[in-house]
Amino acid sequence: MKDCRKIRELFSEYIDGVLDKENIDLVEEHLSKCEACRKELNKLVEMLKILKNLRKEETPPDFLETLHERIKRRDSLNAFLNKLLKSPNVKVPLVVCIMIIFVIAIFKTVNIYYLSKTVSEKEYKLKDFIRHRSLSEEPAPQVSWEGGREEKFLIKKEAVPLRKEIARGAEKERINKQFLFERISKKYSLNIETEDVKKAFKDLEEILQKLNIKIIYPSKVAFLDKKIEESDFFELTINLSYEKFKSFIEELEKSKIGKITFPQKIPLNQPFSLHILLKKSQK
Amino acid sequence: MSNNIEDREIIEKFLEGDITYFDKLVLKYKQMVFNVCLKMLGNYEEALEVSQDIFLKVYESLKNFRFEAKFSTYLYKITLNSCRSRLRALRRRKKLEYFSIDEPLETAEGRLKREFEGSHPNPKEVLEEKEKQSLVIKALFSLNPEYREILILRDIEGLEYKEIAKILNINLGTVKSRLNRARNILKEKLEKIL
Repeated sequence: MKDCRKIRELFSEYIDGVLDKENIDLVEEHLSKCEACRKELNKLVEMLKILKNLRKEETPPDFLETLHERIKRRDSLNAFLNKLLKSPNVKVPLVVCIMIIFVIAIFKTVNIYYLSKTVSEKEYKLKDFIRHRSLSEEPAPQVSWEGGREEKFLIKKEAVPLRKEIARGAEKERINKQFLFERISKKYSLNIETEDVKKAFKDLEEILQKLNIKIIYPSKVAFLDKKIEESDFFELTINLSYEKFKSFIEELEKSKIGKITFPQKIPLNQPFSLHILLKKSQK
Repeated sequence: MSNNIEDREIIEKFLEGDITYFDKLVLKYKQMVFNVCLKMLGNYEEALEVSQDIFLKVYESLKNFRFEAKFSTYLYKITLNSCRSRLRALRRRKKLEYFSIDEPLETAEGRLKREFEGSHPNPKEVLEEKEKQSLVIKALFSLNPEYREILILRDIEGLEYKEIAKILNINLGTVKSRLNRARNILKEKLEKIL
């Protein structure tokens, strides 16, 4: 049985006549003794005969005609493509492409230039914004963001790191004595010690009216009047610029309102809030 | 060899510009190509379409043919490659059906009964032979394409081992072992009719 399997493996080559002499002898010797293998060989030969005689089917009569049509279609397509690639017409799309690239390049350059410009403008505005925020209790002025689409783009993509960077720069600048008066405290307060608080308040009120300075706290002066009646001290807040501050101090000195204490240094070029504390002097 | 020289002359004349020589090539090989496709794909319409595609490919690529191999070898290669690609595509689309040799053939001239070569005077014999052939074709088609193509090349087309090795790009030893294996599998499948 083992021999049969080995011999049957050689049948294919044996039938095709490609087996070497030694193996042919081996197969034939085995076949002379083994009927089962002879049957197997016959089956194989029979099968190959069927395969060989499998009827060949004819192509349809219009095979060549259909092929000609397809070739014709293909040729015309190829001709069209060649024409398109070789003809001067192809220059039109090429020129268009080049133009588009050129326009995009110009647009990008202008865009970058414009952005850098607006960034520097914004940097300046933002510096002011930061300074003001740090020096005054007054609400920060609106920083104008001009520039339309580019601005939106900038705010989206670059605003956050840019703001941080600008803030850092502004902080450095501030530390580097940008202001003549170094900021000591966020709040600026002025103390007035007087013997007669009511009189001092009237004087102060006159000075503020003269200089056209509004009291922002408390919102109603009536409260002040009431408070003066009740206690020996009161406080108020005003907004003023450096110039007005100078005039204000001069007026206070003129009126000899009392002992004025102003320990902080104030910013020169920024409006600021001043907290005034009027109290009775202690003897 | 004379066949090869004849092919060479035909191709050269076609490449010189005489398109009628391409028709000669088509007429010479269309049946071979179509039948290989038919046995590989098992579907008449698919085989017809792929055969057309093959000749279209030949038409476009003949200018690059260098006569390093026989034209028939080149054509068999293209044919089998095209069949393999189509089989892959058909499997993806799950659109593979056996063709029946008794099914009428749709042509431009109407439905025709398929006529086969050979004469069988006895109607009983014709019927038996048809049944056998139908079973063999179905069994053949149920084989792995690798086995199917080697059986087609050797046992149906009758090509030499060396040529098969060139067409399939495998060595002679592989041709022998693959053929032996393919034959044994097919024999097992056809046990009932043998």
